[in-house]
Amino acid sequence: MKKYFNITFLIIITFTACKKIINVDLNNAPSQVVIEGIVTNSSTAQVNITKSVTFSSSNTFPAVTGATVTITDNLNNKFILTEKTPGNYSNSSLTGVPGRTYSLSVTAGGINYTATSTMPQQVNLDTLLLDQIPFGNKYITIVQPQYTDPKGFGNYYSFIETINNTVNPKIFVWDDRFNDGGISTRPLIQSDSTIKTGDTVKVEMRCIDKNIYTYFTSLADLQQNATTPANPTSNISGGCLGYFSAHTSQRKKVLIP
Amino acid sequence: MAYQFKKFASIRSCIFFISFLINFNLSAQNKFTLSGSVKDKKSGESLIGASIRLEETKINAVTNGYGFYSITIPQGNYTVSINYAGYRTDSKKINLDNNIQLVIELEPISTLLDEVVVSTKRKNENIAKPLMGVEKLNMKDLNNLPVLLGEKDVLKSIQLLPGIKSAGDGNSGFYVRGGGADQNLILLDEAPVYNASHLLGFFSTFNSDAIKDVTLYKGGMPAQYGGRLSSVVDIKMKDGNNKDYDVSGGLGLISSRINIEGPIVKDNGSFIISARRSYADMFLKLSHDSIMRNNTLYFYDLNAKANYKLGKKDRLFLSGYFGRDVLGFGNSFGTDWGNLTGTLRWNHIVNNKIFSNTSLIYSDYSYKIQIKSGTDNFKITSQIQDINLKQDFDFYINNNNKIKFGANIIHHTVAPGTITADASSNIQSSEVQKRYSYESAVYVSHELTVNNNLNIVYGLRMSNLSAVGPGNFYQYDQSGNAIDTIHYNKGQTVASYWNLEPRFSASYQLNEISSIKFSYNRNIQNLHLLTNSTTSTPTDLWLPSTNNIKPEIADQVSLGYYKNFKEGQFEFSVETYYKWIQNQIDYRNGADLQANDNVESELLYGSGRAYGIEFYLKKKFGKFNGWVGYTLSRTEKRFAEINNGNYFPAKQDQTHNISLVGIYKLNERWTLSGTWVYNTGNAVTFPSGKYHVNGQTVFLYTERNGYRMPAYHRLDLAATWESPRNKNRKYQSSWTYGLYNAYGRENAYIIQFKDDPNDPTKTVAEQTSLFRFVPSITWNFKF
Repeated sequence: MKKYFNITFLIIITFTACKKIINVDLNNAPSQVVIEGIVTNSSTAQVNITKSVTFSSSNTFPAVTGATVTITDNLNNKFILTEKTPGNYSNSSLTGVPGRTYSLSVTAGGINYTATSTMPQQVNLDTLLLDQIPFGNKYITIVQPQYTDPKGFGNYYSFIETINNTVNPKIFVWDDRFNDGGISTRPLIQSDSTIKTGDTVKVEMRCIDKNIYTYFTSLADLQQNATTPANPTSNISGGCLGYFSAHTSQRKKVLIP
Repeated sequence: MAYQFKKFASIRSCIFFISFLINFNLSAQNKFTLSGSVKDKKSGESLIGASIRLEETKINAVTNGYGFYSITIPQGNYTVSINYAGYRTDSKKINLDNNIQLVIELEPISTLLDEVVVSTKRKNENIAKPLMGVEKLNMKDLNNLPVLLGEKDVLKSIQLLPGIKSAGDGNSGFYVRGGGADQNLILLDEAPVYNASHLLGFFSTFNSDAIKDVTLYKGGMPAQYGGRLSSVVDIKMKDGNNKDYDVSGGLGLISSRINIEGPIVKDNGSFIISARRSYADMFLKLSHDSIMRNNTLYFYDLNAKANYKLGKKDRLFLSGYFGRDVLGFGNSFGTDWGNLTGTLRWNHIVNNKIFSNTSLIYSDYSYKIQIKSGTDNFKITSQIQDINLKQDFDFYINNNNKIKFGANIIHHTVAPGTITADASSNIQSSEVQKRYSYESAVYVSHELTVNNNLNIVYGLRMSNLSAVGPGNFYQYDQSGNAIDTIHYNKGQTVASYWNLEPRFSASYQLNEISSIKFSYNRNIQNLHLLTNSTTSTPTDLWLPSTNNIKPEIADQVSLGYYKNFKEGQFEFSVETYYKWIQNQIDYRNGADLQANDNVESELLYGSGRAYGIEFYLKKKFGKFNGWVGYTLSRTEKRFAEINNGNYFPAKQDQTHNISLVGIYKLNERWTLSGTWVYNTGNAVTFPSGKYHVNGQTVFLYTERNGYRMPAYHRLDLAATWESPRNKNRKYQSSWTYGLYNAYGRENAYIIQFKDDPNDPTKTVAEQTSLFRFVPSITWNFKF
């Protein structure tokens, strides 16, 4: 909804608005540890550990090597993740099971970081529908993932759209507040969508837990240039950036006619 | 209950105290009362704030909001002189040997070139008045000031006064002495207007053709006003010409206007209808693009008012406002939003010393969003509705004592969001619980002339907010998780807040032309705006205080020095203030404010403080007039959960703020004007680093509002040409040419940080600026 107003705003200012690259004198925050840990029911558990850099640096983020990374489930199965490439830790024997709670422990630079996440039950992604809608001054093609939300509030979803092998950076994340227990065909709308005839669009649907939903809503707010941006609240304790998510994952693809 | 009784008891003792202070003059001398009203001779409009002076004495009275005045003086012969800015001074000889009723009609001065005859005493009236932090907007000046796209706008013009800051480039939203945009009580004929802007903030909802008087209180609010922390903007609509029919209007780049007024019964009743519609959508229709053609974007508003005299002592007023913005993209998305207000008032002159006004006020703000996507077809609606009953009395006891007292009760209904879906939709119809509350207040205010030098106004307002059922109310833990749900039945009290709001101001006259003034006031706000957007969006949500949301409290002290010089041609003032604010609201990260039954779980509570000093120099008369305003100020907030619990600058914290306004009457035909504004950039949060997550670059933030936008400055120019006046013909017309941002300053509207589109290994800052060199032309007519 907010994006409609943003678009309106753009229409109003189109005649006069002008953009330019400027220099802003920014502070350099000390480098912080960034942990991104994922357990899914369809692929290998992965934990990436990097560090933040200053704004003016290039977009290469130093890997944190030599960390001790373990993931334990609520049945006390313990998995040690080993470093395959610098900063990238994984264990191919850990595939998540919906309903289980996973605990992450990372020790890096003498500091211990911990987090837990519960993998929700999988909701089946039935199909991908297509539609065209007018948006601003053009028609855009939209993909609508269709699924049936289970009865009872508290289901959270995240969708990752890949157009011809390029991941759409836009974050699609929502809950079941408006259609609890119903069939959802909520579209993946991106105002500057480039989807055209002949493209292959892949959609990954994830069922995520509430902390991760909040994390990604905050991240989406940052993408939309929030009024007062703030770092998304991490579910990892110990003082780092990033998140640890145990989620289901299911993929489907569609060819744009 | 015992607590409530104690509060009532304290009110009672206060009334005793007041009656003790009032000096009932029981001397043998016979006293009589001169009362009546002051009006415009041509239109019969009552004049607000006109001065009535008895030349033989120092006694001076001012007309109230309905043009009524009352003076009680010893028997004798007097010369009464009546002054009002923009009108020829009138004087009458009276022999006061019984109570006299005198209706005075003043003749408007048609051009500024006419010799403005204003007595020196009248010129220095601002010095003696105990009110401080009050600004009156001259509606005549408004017509000459340059504005964006030529759309004259009261809310934009008040931003040129010291202590008042604009919410953004071309925006009608404003901040008063550090308070938020939601802390301004904007009243249109006593009805609060919840969303005072059109087109996402670029234009205000007020059609200046229909407006008679705008008074802004930024501190020292009299006790009759309450409900918001920072300011009161009291806008009064014209009553309509009760002598003759008038049609006026205008064509501008954004909208066209028409205004019709005339008598219902000559001298006894009149009406006014004023309408405006924008036509930005007409440009869309011209587009070659068929999709653009199917988009809609416009606003309209309608002001209407009628009044009728039921006799010498009674007068009825019925006024209303209806405005709507409409926006749509083809048939997939449509929305409209707007305000509806209605006021029914009954003025009654109880006797020549007591004036009564009873008002029944309705106010409503609503929006509707219609979305159609595939098989989903649903609409979201939201509404806030007030019904308000208000009784006010003005009691003119004697020349040294005036009392205002009254009471009101408002019933608020807030429907935060209702979703209505077609049967075919996958979206389900649902409703976020409606919230009900009663907001009531009683007040008394005493204006006391202690001696020739000292005037004071003090008063007390006692306000209450009671949140009532039906509904489920929640209790939350520290991190915002619901830990308990309590159901309340219809009419059951969920939470009740009593507050005492003392108001005090005093002026001490140092000599004829200078004075110092002091004021203290406490204000309470029980309606809270939830918004996490930069611009005013139609989906702004107002919530009353509940078991979780406490009333916002502001205490303000201010001290000022006032001096007039050059025969009252120049007015100088300096005011300094300090404000403590409690129970301010902010949001948790990732807060979801829309259609959320648990919205209160997303809120954080903190405090704030604001202080500053305002300088103001105004040239009031002559071919050239205008003013210079400078404000040096600071506004800070503190929340335990933000910035490690340290104070951080509020967004609207602008250290320096300067405005220059000049209006020059070149000749009979041409008036030139210019305004220049400068302010320190708003406080913003910029990144202090970056990291990689979710396959993308994410910026790292350290402190809240730790950076500044670049300084903002702008020059606007306008020239107005008026058709030569012809005594035999009523027809008049004028052309106004304007240039907004005349030297094309690229003021930063937003600064965005992103990956460099030309080099993905880098990140850059990109500035967007909005309006540069925006010309305008407006044609106005009257016949």
